[in-house]
Amino acid sequence: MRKFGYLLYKDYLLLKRDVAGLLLMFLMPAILVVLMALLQESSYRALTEASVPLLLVNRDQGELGEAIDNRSRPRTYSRLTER
Amino acid sequence: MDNLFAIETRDLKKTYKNKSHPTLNGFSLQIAYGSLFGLLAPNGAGKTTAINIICGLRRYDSGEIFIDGHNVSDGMQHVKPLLGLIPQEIALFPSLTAYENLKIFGGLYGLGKKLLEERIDQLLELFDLSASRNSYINRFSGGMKRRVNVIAGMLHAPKILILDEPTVGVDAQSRRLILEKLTDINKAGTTILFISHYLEEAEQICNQVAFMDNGTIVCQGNPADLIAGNSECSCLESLYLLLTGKKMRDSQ
Repeated sequence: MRKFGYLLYKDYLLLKRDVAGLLLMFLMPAILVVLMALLQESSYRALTEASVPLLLVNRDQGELGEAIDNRSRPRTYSRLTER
Repeated sequence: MDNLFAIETRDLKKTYKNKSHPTLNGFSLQIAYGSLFGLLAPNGAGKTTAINIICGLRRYDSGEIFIDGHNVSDGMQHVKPLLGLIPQEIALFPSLTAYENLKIFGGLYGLGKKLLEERIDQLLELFDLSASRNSYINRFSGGMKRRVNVIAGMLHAPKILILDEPTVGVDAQSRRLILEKLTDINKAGTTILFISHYLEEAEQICNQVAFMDNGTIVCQGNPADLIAGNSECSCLESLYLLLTGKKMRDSQ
């Protein structure tokens, strides 16, 4: 256990005197997080905001046609085109 | 004392996977207690492999190794505290001070705080580095780094000290100081295995030497006796060249 303590002491001293290394150690993960968030966001947006034009011609005028019309509207992946 | 030798190797063999010829080929060595033993060999003769195997840093194919009577194949837990290895490369942290480096190495050897402080002070004083104890290693000269490197390997007062070319790349003053202190440490009872390319150093300080070539010991004995035993040779270097040849070995 004492030997482990000396190893920690050695690493502490080495890190303390390596300012560039220390900065890289803490900054690089932060930069990576920001970079990955930006990259992921654009791909996520492409997935969630994709809209497929959907033509709905409702000649039913009954309950079933109305139900289909209502159910289709809130879908984010389609853009309802009415006639 | 049952065993006569601080280090004894018997018929050690080691072949690396990517090599066709063995690096160690029947390497047998006996180093008596209290001796200052020089292991001299050309480049690529296998001396670093032999040292690494003796210190348990590398595996061997066959043979036996005894350190202070302990068979290394039974485990290194009894052997490691007895050994102090000073590698050829500077094994220090450049951005730490001499004191911090020594504190960390001493701590890893398991020394208590008070004993460690005493040993650091004592050895820094011995190697004339007390004034630089709080200076960073990256501001040290080659000779100073080498001296701190030597201190780091002997903080735990090992019974057997192994030095792999401890005077490479240092000035005459540092070299003289290192050799002088090693002789003093040896006189105080520590067995020293000294590896060097500088034959005049070995002739000057060692009471036993061995020449190694092609993975095996070709000659072993007291330097003066070895020279006296061969009428063609006037110094250790001429005997060394006679036994190991003049062919370059860098390609091995």
